[in-house]
Amino acid sequence: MAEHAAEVTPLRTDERTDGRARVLIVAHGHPDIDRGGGEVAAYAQHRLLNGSDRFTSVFFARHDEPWPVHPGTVFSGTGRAAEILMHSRTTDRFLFRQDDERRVWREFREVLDAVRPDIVHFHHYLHLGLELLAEVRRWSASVPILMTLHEYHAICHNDGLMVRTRDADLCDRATPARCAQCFTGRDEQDFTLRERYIKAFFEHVDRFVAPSRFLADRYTDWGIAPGRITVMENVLPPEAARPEASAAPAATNETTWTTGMTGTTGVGERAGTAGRCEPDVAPGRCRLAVFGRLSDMKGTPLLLEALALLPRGTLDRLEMDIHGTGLERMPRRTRTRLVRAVRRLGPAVRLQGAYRQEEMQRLLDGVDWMVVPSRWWENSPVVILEAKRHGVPLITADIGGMAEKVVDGLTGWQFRAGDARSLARTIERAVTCGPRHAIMAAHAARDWRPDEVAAAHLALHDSARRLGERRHADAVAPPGANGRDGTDGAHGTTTATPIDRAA
Amino acid sequence: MINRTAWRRQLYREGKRLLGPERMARLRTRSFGLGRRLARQGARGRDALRGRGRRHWLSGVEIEWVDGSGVLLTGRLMSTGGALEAASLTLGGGTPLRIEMATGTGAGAALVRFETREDRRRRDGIARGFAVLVDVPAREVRGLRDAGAAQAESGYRLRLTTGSGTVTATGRLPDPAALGYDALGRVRAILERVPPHRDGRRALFDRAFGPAIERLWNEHRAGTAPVDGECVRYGDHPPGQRHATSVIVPVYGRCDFIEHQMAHFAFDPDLAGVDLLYVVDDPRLHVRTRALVERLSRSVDLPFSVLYLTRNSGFAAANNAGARHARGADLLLLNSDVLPGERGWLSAMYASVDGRLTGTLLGARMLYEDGTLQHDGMRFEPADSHEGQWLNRHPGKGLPADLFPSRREAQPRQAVTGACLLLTRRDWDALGGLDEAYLLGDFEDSDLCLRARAAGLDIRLCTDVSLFHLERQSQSLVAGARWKDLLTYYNCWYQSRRWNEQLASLTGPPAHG
Repeated sequence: MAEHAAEVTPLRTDERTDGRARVLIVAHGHPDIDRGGGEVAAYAQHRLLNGSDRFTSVFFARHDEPWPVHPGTVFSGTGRAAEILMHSRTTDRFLFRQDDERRVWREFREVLDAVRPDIVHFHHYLHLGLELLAEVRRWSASVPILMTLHEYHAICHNDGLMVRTRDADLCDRATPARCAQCFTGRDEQDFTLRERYIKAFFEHVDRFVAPSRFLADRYTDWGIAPGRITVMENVLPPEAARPEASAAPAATNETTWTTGMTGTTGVGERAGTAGRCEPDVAPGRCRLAVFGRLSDMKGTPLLLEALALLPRGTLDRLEMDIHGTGLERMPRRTRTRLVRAVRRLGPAVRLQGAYRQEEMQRLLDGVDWMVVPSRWWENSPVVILEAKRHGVPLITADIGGMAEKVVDGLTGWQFRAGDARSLARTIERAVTCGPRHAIMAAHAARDWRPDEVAAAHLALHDSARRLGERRHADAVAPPGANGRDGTDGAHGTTTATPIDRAA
Repeated sequence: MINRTAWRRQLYREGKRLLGPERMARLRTRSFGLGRRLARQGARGRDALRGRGRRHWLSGVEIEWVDGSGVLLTGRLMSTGGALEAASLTLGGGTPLRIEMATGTGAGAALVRFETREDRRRRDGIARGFAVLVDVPAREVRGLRDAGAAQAESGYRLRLTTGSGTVTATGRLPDPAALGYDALGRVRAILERVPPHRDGRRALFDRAFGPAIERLWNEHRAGTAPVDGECVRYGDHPPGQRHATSVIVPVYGRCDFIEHQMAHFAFDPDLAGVDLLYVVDDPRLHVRTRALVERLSRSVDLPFSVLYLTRNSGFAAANNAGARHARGADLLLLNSDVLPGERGWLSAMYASVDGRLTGTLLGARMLYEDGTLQHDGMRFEPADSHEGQWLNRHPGKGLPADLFPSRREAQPRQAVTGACLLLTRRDWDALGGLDEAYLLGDFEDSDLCLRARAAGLDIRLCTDVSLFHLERQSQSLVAGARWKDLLTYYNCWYQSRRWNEQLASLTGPPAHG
């Protein structure tokens, strides 16, 4: 039997001589495959932890693509170290159950055994199954479980949007009765069961992380004790190194050439942002950009409606670039209507199609305003962080996570959510705000504090590690031969010694 | 209104006249739903099928010789009146052979009942498929042979007695003398008759399909000489040269891997003195391989040999044939889609056992192209999906290799893959090589490891090498068809049955706790 213990022996904690704690990041997708905000944030956190001297991190993500899946295993790699992909298809969006229970007790357990994490940090349960939370607890009673909440899926069955299904009205609290109104096929008791089922699994989580205060409040209202939630901004992936040497001269040449051709003097396409939006005098147009998936909830139709409401003179003085995909997923009629609306607006508005996260820096070059016209609450949109990183002031809706991230009149303007006329007025105001733009840009840039965010995330994991060590020491039973920790008192310990508030 | 049955019957008759009976037989399995069933039945069966006033039907009966002394019968029985009580089979004009029920203890023959997908749709009775392997006494076979010489083919009569009476199926019996060629094709024909559902499959294999294939394959092996072929040497082979290691690489499906391997082997000092032998187990590839290796022999200094086998005979036979031609003191079995990540892998393998290879079967860790584990040893596990039969599991497969530290010393394992397996010539001979009872390349390696364990040898794995195994490349050449999956099932069944006790004693708590 000793032979079996010797088979495929992953590193044990005590064998890791560097003294770094190992974190297992569990994400519902890999940014290589799905570029959602949650995936990007999870992966950025993985990179941040791995870059520190206190932690090593393993990134575990699920996918359901026909990605290179090897015969005889659900796992595959990305070609980079410490990244695991698991193939899994789940369809349950009501109770978030894993369709194939073997993914839980066999494959995910195999990952836990191989990685032997000191901390497990979930970034979602969607597509993965809530059972994974319980499986971690079954595997070890002492390992701390963290969970970053990215949307409102646990609270709201409508895709986690907290928007009513009938009239797309914003919803601020979920009760079984209200939820039953949204879904005719299900009654109040279904939603009671759902809530209690999800909360039963959430019991295993030692600390929740909310990227916005708004989101934390929603979960507090829903029944998570305020002391269990830490508000902490998402980590943004580091900027891709720009090929300065080759790109910069090329841009200059192009500018010169363009200027020469059109005969304008002085201000070219790529001039600095200062003075771009001065009324009457600016020869260059004011540039606005929207990033993200094109959809009703993300406010694409709303934006086009607002642009159509602008007086002709204003429209002539701006350029609006709409970046992102999603057209192909729309019903044909919606798509046609949208494309027609864009065409009617003339050359000022363009659909730019797909973009990559690494391009953001280049795409934001020379952009004067970023618009976030979402019709739902949002949480902490990646694009807002990107805008701040590049010192671009924002125009956002005045609700939820967006309102929290933008100070009206300082780092951007807010408009009344879902109101096209209000958005039109705000755009007009932004286009004609003159030198104030430069001040707001400076404020936006000052609001970008990556070091603070990184420090907070590391501190969170530090305290999680301390919790794990404390529990380990408290455990009456000595660790099992296979690295399984003591099995008693799991829940008692969980609630008795919460992680220190890191933020 | 058109009489559909009459119309189909006429269509079938016309088809047989135009296309010939053989093509029509193939066609009808697809398109002549009713015609197919009718064609297989005698006049009685036809009545039975219509079910006029009857309470049981017998349909879809097929009969096949397994070897010179056994026939495999499959079909469907539907009965509304009680369970099956007795069965008998009459071949030609011989005496009825009694078929033992599955519950009975009678030797040789057994009747297993199974439900097919078609049966499930019928709700008005208990419909059961059945498979039965019937031993035919030698005198019966002789009688049939004589009769066959006289009238070209004879008939059979199957009688099944249920609680509600007796039902009979009659039909033509293939001539036992016409068997003998294309054993694999006959295995395939048998496997294609295995019902699609998985529950109860093990019993079917235990009692009918498994022994049928085993007998067929054994008879085939007994009647054929071991595969061999022309062994051509390329490059500079000094006479009387002694080799430490022979590297045996079977080639099947595609030969371009040779070129890829050569690109890595050519300048690897470890490979300089080895006896590199490619075994082309695929006559379709002979011409292409010759062209390729003649080109290679001019551009690569590494001498090598190619053994052109005269027929495709599977992984085990190809390696065994290669081993007979190999001249080294040690043998390294290597798949053609295994590529080294860097030089020095062969000496690392030897170093992991401190050069003392005797008494050890040494495997190697292999990776996928994305840096995850492809092979890190095998572990036997009883699988629910196979009704408790033993499957070879690959722990860690698909997970990043950097999670599993490598060590210089070879690590013990339950079994290792034959895709890269190093052992001494003496141990190989003592074990008798790979067992050719497995069909087409599956489970021979674990079987070899189990035999080695029984003989007191060590199974170890060298984790300190970097080899890539593009497993999918070679598997996609054979996988996909249903009968191939069933062939794997058969191999699994064979291994489980043969090694059940040893496997049960071998497997303790799972390695990962």
